[in-house]
Amino acid sequence: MFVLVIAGYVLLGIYEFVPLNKEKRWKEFYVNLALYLVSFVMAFMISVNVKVPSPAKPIEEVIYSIFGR
Amino acid sequence: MVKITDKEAICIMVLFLLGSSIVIGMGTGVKNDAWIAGLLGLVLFIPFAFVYARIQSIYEGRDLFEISKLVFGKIPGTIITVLYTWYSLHLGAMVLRNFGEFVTITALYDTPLIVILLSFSVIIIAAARSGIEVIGRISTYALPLVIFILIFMEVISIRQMKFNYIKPVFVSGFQRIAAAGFSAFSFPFAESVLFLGVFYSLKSKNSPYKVIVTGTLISGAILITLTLVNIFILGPMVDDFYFPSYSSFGRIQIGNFLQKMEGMISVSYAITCFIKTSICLFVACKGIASVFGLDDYGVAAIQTGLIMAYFAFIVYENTVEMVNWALKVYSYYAVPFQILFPLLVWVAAEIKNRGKGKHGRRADKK
Repeated sequence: MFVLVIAGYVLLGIYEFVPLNKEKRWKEFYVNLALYLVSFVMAFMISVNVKVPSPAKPIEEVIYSIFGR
Repeated sequence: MVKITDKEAICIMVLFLLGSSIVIGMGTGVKNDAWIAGLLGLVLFIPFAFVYARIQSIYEGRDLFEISKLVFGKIPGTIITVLYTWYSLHLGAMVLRNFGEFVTITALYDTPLIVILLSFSVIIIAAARSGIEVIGRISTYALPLVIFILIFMEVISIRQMKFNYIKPVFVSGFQRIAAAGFSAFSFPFAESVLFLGVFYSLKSKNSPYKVIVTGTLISGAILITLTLVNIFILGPMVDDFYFPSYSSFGRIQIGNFLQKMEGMISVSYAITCFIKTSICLFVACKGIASVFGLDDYGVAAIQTGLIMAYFAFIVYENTVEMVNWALKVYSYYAVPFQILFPLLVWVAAEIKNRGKGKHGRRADKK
C-alpha cells in the first residue's frame, strides 16, 4: 500500500512542482512544498496503519472542561 | 475580479446550508419537537445573518481575511485568518466524513472509507480549483434538481405519514428544545459565516443582505419541512436513526413498482455535500493564500483537498463518535467562529467606518 502512496506522490510532485519551478513562482513553490510534505506524511502513516492522533479529542476535552459534560 | 450573480450566490448558499442536514436532520435529541428546534435555530440566526451581511457590505469586494487584516491590523488579522482557515478545513473534513459514513453504511459496505473519501475529494478539488463562478454555475443547475427530488419524495410519501405523530407538542420541555435550537443554529445555519470568504465576488453592496436572508429562508423552509416529514413518517423513533431522511424515504411504497426510493435522497445528499465541501475547501485555500501572500489560491487546492480527505479519515474513530461530536461538542466549538469573531469584526468595522465618515466630512468642510 505504501508503495502506491509513494508512487502517487512522486507523480503529483512532478505535476505540481515542475510548472511552478519553470515559472519561478518561489513563494507558491515553498508553500505548496510544505503542504505536500504534511499531506505525504499523513498519507504514508495511514497507509502503514499508524494511528494519526485526531484533534477532535483534545477539542472535546477543552469544551467539556469549560461547559461540563 | 471574478463576479457571481445574486441568483448563483443564493443557489450556492441554499445547497451549502442543506449540506449534511438533508440526511442527518437538525435539532436532533428532542424527538417530535425537532421542527420547533429547527424553527428556533432559524429565528436565532436571522440577526446574525444581518451581521454577516453588514460586514460584507461595509467592505464590499473584500473577503473575510482582508477585512480582518484591515480592521485589526496585520498580526491579529493573520491570527483570525489562520483560525478561519482551520475552521473551514475542519468543517470540510467533518462534512466529508459524514458523507463517507453515509456511503459506507447505506451502499458500499466493503469499500474502505479512505477510498470513498479520496474519490469524492477529487471532484471537490476540481471544483475549488475552478473557482467560485464554476461552483455558482453548477449550483444553479443542481438546486432545482435537489428541490424537485425533495418535493417529489415528500408528495409520494404522504401515504406513509401519520400526522398525529407530531403530538404531543413541547413534550421535551423548553430547556431541551432551546438546547436543540442552539444546535440547529450552529449546524447548519451559522456555518454560513464561511460565506464571508466567498461574497467578495458579489456584484452590488446590497447583494449580501439579499443573498444571506433569501438563502437562509429557503434552506430553513426546506429543512423544517423535511424534519416535519421525518417526524410524520418515523414518529418518536426519529432520533434512533443516524440518517432519518434516508430511513423515512426508504419506507415509501406505492404499488409494487414505486418503492425503495431512498437512493434519490442519496443523490441529493451527494450534490449538497459536494457544494458544501467545495466551499469549505475554497475558503481554506483562500485563507492559506492570504496568510502566505500568494497571488493564486488554486496552487494550494490539491494538497489542501488531500489533507482534508486524510483529516476526514482520522477525525473520528467510528459513527457513534461522529454523531456524539456533532450533537454535544460542535455547537460550543463553533461559538467563537460563528458568534464571537463576527461580532468583534462587525463592531470594529462600524467604529472604523464611522470614524472614516467623520474625517471625510471634516475634510470636506475645510
